[in-house]
This record gives sequence, C-alpha cells and structure tokens, in this order.
Amino acid sequence: MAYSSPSSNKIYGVVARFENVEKLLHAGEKVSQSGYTHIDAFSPFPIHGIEKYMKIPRSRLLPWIVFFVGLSAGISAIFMQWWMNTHDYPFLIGGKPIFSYPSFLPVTFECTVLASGLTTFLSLLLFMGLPKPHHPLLSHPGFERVSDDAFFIVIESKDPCFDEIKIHALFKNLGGMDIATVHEE
Amino acid sequence: MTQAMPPITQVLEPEPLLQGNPSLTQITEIVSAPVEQEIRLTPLTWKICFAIALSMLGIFVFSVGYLLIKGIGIWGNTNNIGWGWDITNFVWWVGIGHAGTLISAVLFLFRQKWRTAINRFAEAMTIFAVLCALMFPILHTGRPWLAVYWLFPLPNQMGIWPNFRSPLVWDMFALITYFTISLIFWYVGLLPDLATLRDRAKTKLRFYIYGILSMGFRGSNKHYQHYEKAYMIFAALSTPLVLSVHSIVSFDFATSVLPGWHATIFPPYFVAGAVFSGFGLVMTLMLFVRRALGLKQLVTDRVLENMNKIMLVTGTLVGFAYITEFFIAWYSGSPAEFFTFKNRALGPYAWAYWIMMSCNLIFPQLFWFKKIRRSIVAMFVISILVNIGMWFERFVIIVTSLHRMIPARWDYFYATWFDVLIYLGTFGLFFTLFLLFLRFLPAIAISEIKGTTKAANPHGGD
Repeated sequence: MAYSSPSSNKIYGVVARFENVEKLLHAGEKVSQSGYTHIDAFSPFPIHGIEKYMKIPRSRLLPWIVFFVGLSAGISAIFMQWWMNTHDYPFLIGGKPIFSYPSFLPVTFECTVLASGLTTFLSLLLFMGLPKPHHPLLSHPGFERVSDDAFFIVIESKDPCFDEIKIHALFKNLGGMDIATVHEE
Repeated sequence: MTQAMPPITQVLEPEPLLQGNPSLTQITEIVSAPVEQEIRLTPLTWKICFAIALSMLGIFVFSVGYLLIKGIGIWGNTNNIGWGWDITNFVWWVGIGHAGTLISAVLFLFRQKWRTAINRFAEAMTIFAVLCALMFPILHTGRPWLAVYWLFPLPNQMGIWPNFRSPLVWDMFALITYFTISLIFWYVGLLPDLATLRDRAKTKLRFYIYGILSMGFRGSNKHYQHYEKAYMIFAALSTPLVLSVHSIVSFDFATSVLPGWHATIFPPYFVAGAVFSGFGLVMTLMLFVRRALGLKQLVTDRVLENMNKIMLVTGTLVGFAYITEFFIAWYSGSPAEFFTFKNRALGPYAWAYWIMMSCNLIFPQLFWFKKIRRSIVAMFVISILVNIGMWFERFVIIVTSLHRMIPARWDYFYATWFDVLIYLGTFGLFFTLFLLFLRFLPAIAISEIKGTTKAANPHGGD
C-alpha cells in the first residue's frame, strides 16, 4: 500500500546512509529478512559476500552469453580462413596442406578473444542499464558520497510491501542516517 | 656448547598494503587532487614535459610524412638486412605493453591485492605502447595504404584474400585484438573512478565530461555483480591473450628458417622478455609519477619491491633462455646455428650483444638482495638498464641473424638519422598521451584500491 507524498512527483524509493560496510551488511540483512525484494546497496567499491546478507542476484547470464558468442566467433574465424584460403582462392604453396589448420589457429584464437571481449563489454552495459546519465538517486543531495566513502541502501517503491512510513522507521531502527524519500525526476 | 632456548613465538604483522592506513576519503583525495587541478594551475613540470612530448610528437609526424613520401630507403635497412630498427622498435613497444596486461589480468587471477596501486597506470601504458608499436608493422610495409588494406580479409581488386599462414597477418589480428581488449578493460575499470570525478566535479564542463564518460555509474551492488563478473572474464581473456600476442610476435621470427630465429624457445622467451621490459618501464615512470603526484602512501615500497621481484624472475627466465639457445646451438651440431651464436658474442655486433647480456642477465640479478630491492636509486638505474638491454636484445636477434644470413653477402647495418628520429617520435606519441592521462584521469584505481583496505573487508578475506 503506497503512501502518496504531497509532492506531485512519483516516489522512486527510500534511501538511507550507513557509515561502513559492517553496518550496511547488518542493516541489509535485516531489510532482506523483513521481506523487501526490490532493494539495492550502493558503495564506492563492490562489497564481497553481499549475496550472503542481502538478496542481490548474482550475475549468471552474462558469462554464458560471452561463451556462446565467443564460440561462434571462433567457428566463424575457422570457416572464414577455410573459405578464403582453401576454397575461394586456394593457396598452393610448395605442396603444403591446403587446409593448414595449425596455421589457422592464431587468427581463430584472436577472433574468439576479440568477440568475447566486445561481447563482455556490451553485455555488461546492457545488464547494468548504462548509459543512464539521469537517475533519481544521482540527483539526490548527499548521494554523491557513494563514490567516496558512503554506503547506502535503497528500497524502491516498486516493492509490493512498500510503505514509506514503515521503511523510514525500519531504517531508523537499523541506524541509518540521512533517511530520505527520493522522488522520480 | 649450546643451551636449548625456549621457542619464541612472535606474530609478525604483514606489511600493510597502504601506508598509514588511509581512510576511504583520504584515498579519494590523494588520487583525485592532481586531476582536479584547474587547467591554469597545472604544475610547471607537467607543462615542460608536455611541451617536450609535443615536440617529439611533431618529430614523429615529420618523420612519418617524410617516410611515406620518400620510402623505406631513408632507413638503414639494406637488401640483406631487411629488418632493422623498425621491427626492433615494434617488438620493444609491444613488450612494454605486456606489463600492463600482466598486472591487470594475471596478478588479478593470482589475487595479488597490491596490484591495485599500479594497474590503472600500467594499463594506460599498455594502450599507448601498443599504439606506438602498431606504427611500425604498418609503416615498414613501405606502402601502408595498400598493405594495411590487403592484410584485412576484405575484397580487393585482385580477388585474393590474405594469406592466413603469414605471421604478419597473425600480427595484425593479434595487435588489433590486444589493443581493443586492453582499451575496453581499462575503460571498464575506469567507470567507478570516472563516477568519483563526476561526483566531485567543481565545474560544469568537468561534470558533463566525466558524467558522459562514467555513463551514470552509481555504485549499485546489483551492477557490481555484473561488473565483477565482467572484470573476471576480461582478466581470464587477457591472460591467454597477452601470452598469445607476444608468441605471435615471436612467430615473425620463429616461422622463418634463419639460424638464430628458427627456434621453438621463441614464444616463452619473448613473453618473459616482454614482461621483463614492460616492468622496467613501469618502474622507471612510476618512480617519477609517485613523487610528482604524491602517491607514496598508496604506491608503497612494498609494491615497488614486488615489482622488482617480478623483474628478477622474468630476467632470470630471459637469461635462462639465452643460455639454452646457446647450448642448443652447440648441441645441435648445426654449423650455421652455432656460427650465428658465436658471431653474436664475438663478431662485429659483440658490443651490442654484451650490452644486452650485462643489462639483462647481470644487473637484474642484484635484485636478489633486499637492500637493492628497496633502494629507490638502485631500482631506477636497473629499470633503465633493463629497458636499454631489452632494446638491444631485439636488435641483436634481428640484425645478427640477418647481416650474415647469405654466405655470399655479408653486410653491416648502420642506422640512419630517420631510424633514430622515428623512434624518438614514438616516444613523443607515448608521452603526449601519457601526460594527458596523468593530467585528466586518475592514475590509481581508486575504487579497486579501496576494495583492498581493511574497511572494505571487515570479515576478513576476499
């Protein structure tokens, strides 16, 4: 049951700041246990082991995408070399095997790596939803410390159990500071 | 007469990664401060260095222009000695680049936390070094506007395709892949730090530029899950990539039949040599930069010592390769092979050979001594000697095998002014880009180095 604030803007969520990693993990664990699902933690560096405390999904799909694209690129590279050097214009050099697959390995390897790397980069951007220069949190005053030394937890309004007053109280209990409701722009 | 002493147990504290246990904010300050200087308050040292670098870049542009107009004849290459400074410089620059990838990728896979002090810096060096390296295979073809097009698998008017058996074609694929992957890896690593600079921006221009470059990165751990996965994939891809790239470069020689070149030891020998020379230049430049930008708290003496240890290991590998080559040349019973090696040590290029041997085999062995590993002066001198020695190694390999390869035509290579100018010019290209990097981008991976602090790992371990 969403509590609509007097402001005309839709609510994005409620944010609270925590002093360090310990406090963030402790608070995050309680938030997860309270049944909230659309949550996120923000920090200047990745917090290792956060999946043990908060329900933050691990990255499972990205490596498989990279694998399959890389594999297809490798197969395509072999096919390209076969077609170009063996089929379309066969290179007859001193009676050497026309399909000299050992010689074709370096280019195959490089094409695989190049395709995998580019895929990793593009998939990463896709999964992170970036570039997204405008975001309600980025314009929230005080949030810019996230890239310096501050740690935040956000519960989004999309959450089925979202209740602004309850969440404010919860964060207060957990020792959150600068608790605030963030509005959509 | 000895008495049994009671066992003394003393818990030794490991040397801290960062000196003085700086707070997260302090780390941000130390690294961001030089970048956030107003343009007009840029330190004079930077301006002078940049002016010199720009003039050397000008020399580069001039030399390349003159080369394209007049042709390869302006170099010292002769009919016999088809490769001179051009390929020496190519292999040297590519080698320099390999240190960055080793630090970023290999040390990451080995979970060496100290790498975070130098990885951003070394990766930037890799990208600029590979750019410089690329110049040489392109230009040494004589008519690069034709040759480069024909190296790509693109349709041409003759209806033929590249010869995929050729190491030059392999080089092209390898270097383009290496450059692209290094650039992407470096950029992905930069995203959190660009966000830091965006969040601290004091002028609108900086806010917009860093804002666009950081793409709206906001430190979300949901994002970090994908980010860390991607980072791991990059590290896992880059490791075999760096090994394959310099192996492919070594194939430029090993796939030929020349004595001294046609040896299976070349791939591991070259890769070890590349890491060796790369660390040499990273060390040389880092000593200047950490003093100039005030980074001593983050790039500690422990980090420098570790770099020296890596130089010791790779230098020993290279020395071992020299000895193996010579032994096999004798043991093989091949008169041509053995002659080539005797010629290197005692022939007209003995001067180059012994510079190479002393710089690569002898001086780095001093790093066995801790006092020398920790002495700034010693490591500065040795790192410069390593760079010089490794340049001479490539020069010796290339020219000594070529200058007497045809028994009826012994020759001697003399470098011309243009050989020297174009080489100096690539330094101009490198340092121009490098100084711009130091001025506008964080020289240390802020987010990564924060991740190694105790504050980031309250429950210990990774």
